[in-house]
Amino acid sequence: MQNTQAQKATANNMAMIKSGVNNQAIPCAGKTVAQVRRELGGAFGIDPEAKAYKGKAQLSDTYVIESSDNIEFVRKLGEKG
Amino acid sequence: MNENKDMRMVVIGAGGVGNWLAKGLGMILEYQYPGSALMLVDGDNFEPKNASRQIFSSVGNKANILASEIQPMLRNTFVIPEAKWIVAPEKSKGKTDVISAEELLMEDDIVYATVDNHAARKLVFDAGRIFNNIDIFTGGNDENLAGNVYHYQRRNGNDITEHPAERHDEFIDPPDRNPGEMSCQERSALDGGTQTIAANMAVASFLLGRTYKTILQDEKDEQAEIQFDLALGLAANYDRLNDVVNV
Repeated sequence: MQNTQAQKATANNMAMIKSGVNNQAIPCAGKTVAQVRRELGGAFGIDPEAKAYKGKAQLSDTYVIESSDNIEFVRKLGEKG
Repeated sequence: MNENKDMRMVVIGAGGVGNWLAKGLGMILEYQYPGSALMLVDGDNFEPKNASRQIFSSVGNKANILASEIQPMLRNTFVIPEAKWIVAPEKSKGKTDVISAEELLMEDDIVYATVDNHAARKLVFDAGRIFNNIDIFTGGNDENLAGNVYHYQRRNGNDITEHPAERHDEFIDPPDRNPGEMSCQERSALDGGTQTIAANMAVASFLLGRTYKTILQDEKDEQAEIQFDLALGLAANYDRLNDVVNV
């Protein structure tokens, strides 16, 4: 029973984080956009200045991510060609 | 299938990406839209240092040489070189080696901004806003094996997909300079970096793919931004349809 609840809590803690080619469920609900940008920056290649969106809505750095959110950190378009 | 039988496609930047892209677009126009025009725009020259990523028959202006190579293979397509740099409207007056995007482009154009800097890309996309019906694609890569493409589409005076400046700050305040607005000495000092032919060709392929889907098949572009990484073998797409919600 406890295990089931723990699993449910863990599952409820997940949000989808997308940046560049990365798109992954991450246990980050309850954290702010700024925290997630900082913590995932290296692994996901997120620019420290990257803007965050939930769907079409731009998020502030203080937005607290909710479980099941789909958050995009915008990656710059390629410069060279 | 899009029934428009004569198109004008404009490739701005005939270097690492545009060189491959122009050949593919030429084939599409030749066999599916005979009588169409393929315009190639670039003020830069092919130089020996470009040979590791681009195939060209001689050194000289990229637009002129590429057009001279493609035209003999295309009997039903007009290949038009424009050996000019894209600059802001106020900087094009009285000069013969530059042109503004506003002067260059026309209604119903299908445009590919494959230059090597954001400053010139911004000029092209910003000019797109004055046209009622236009498609502007861009594609670029980094110094390795990653890159992306973007499609801005306007119909009947409305943005069907978002202008890239909606999300991309590099289209508001470009971090680089436009070679078209540099001196000859500054241009000659520019470094092409360590780009790969694989990334250049992948960008061209994705642009051709978006052209098939959204122009030839006239389908809504629900994947207007695509990011790829050839090293990881991954690609991801992003919905940029213009149904913005302000929260």
